[in-house]
Amino acid sequence: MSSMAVSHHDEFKAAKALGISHLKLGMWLFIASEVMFFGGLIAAFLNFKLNVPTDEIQLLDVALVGVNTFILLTSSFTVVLGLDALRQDKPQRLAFFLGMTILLGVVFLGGQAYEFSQLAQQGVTLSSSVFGSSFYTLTSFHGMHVLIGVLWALRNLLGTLRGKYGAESVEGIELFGLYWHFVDIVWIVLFTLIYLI
Amino acid sequence: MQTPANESSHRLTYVLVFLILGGITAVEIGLTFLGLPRATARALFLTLSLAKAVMVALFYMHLKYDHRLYAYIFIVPVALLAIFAYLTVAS
Repeated sequence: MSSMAVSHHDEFKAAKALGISHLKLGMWLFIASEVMFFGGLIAAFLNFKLNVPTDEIQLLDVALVGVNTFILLTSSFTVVLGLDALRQDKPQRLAFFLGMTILLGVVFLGGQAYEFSQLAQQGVTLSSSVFGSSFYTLTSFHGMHVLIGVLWALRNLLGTLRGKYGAESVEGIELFGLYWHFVDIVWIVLFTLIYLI
Repeated sequence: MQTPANESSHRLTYVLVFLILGGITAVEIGLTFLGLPRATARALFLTLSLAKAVMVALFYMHLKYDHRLYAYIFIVPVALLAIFAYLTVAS
């Protein structure tokens, strides 16, 4: 029966009863829930930052984190270039850009770990103060999202190397891109609220 | 369906957006060393970060080119977040 003969290209062809991709709709709804998740953490951090002032905030290394921010922005660039390459049916280039994204994500996480170690040496820990608790909670949850994204990118890279994606089956990479860009947007907001203002 | 010309123009857009994002980030870091008045600095940083976030959403997440429903799904909780954050801080 023709319904049994499903090629791997059909794997990500989601239902479109609403005229739009259900998978993509689901990803956007998930992102909406993540906005509310980070919203609660951000609101709590802002409350403590503005209403419970502390000198610990002077210990934050804006230059280091600024470089880290640029690294994450670059990773968003490589993701979108990868998707663009896939749409042109160039999976080898997609694999390259996914590899770059993974590398940049790992470097970002390394930068965060270094920053955390520097702050811990100066006495700012998860339990040292209200600032420490809210700072580490907020940035660590974001870091966890980056780590999940890196693992997802690695899975996508392996799938690409196995020939899973092509110009006719881009949705899997597109969904990953939406997640990664959202994580980038969250960091844009966090960088401003934690380090700049 | 995208033509090769459209695909090329999107790639150029991605490069321009990346350069702008990098430039804004560099400006933000530079501004921290200027010792601006707090209110001015906050207004500047919030505006610049909003610009960066909007650019990523419009061009990298393709909200500019995709179905409007995705934009509404994203904007509504962002607006709620802004209201929630303001009420939390104001209290």
